[in-house]
Amino acid sequence: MQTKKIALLSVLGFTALLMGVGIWMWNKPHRNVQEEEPAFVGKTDAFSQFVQSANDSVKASLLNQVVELQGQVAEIERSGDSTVALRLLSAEADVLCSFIGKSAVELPELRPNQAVQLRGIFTGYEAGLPGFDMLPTITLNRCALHQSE
Amino acid sequence: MKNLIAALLTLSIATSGMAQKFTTKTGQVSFFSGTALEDISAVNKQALSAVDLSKGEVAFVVQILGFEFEKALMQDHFNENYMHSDKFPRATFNGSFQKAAPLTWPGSHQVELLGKLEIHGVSKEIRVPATLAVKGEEAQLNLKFSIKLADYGIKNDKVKNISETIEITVKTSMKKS
Repeated sequence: MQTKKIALLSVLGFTALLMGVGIWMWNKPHRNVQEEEPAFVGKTDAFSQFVQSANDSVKASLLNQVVELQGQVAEIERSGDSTVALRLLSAEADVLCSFIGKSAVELPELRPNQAVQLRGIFTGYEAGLPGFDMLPTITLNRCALHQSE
Repeated sequence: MKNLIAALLTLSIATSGMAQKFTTKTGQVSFFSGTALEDISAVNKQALSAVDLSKGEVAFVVQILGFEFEKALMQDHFNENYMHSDKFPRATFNGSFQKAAPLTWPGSHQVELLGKLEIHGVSKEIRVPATLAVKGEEAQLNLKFSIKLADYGIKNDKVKNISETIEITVKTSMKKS
């Protein structure tokens, strides 16, 4: 009888544990760029030059990594309450940072030419589109302001 | 006076033949999958988009890692298990308008695009309806179409929580470049 009780409790406990892990996995939060160690820290132009000169395997290893950039705001565009698109000044490339959710809501008013330090997840580099003159584009996602002056 | 009119006419013809290029780097690409198990949607607001109205050419590029999901777990599965975004980091479309109408005319045009859509490293020719609206220095190009995952080598055989056909919506507001 005692053995049966222990077995039943073990099964119930294991099931509860599995359910708990499942619920946690399903609701796990999105990545927080402030809590991750950046793979690159530096100025916007330095990052643009680094990405453009890097070979494909280096670029690929940088994908989905957090980077921290110091630069100046070129342009800022809010769409709705929870999305902000910010472009950093760079002669080398258009560096586009997308702020989503809380980091967008809490983003203070920024002006063109204002110095900023931000972190974001590097999502890609594009040299341009065939037949169209465009500056290369670097995209960062889930950006958050790290420090602004 | 005749010379002046002739010069103006020549200038007007020359100008109309010049490139009518519109571009943006903040195009919006979203997709939706609906099954009995769950609905899944995601959006990417950093699509590179360009049209050349004088040549009738259209191009889009979107980074797969830039798609945002409501749930972080869905986003991880999308990149790791389905799209393999480390191997195939982007999706592209290169095509042209299939309508000889003067697309540079201001107003809204129902058009058709024919071109190659590359997703997950697989390129396929597609034909999709689109709406093009040109007003001064701006052009809007919107598309809505469906693709079959199997056509692009995207396997959905583990958990049937993704529909076999995905609806894709593209919204762009481009400026003359």
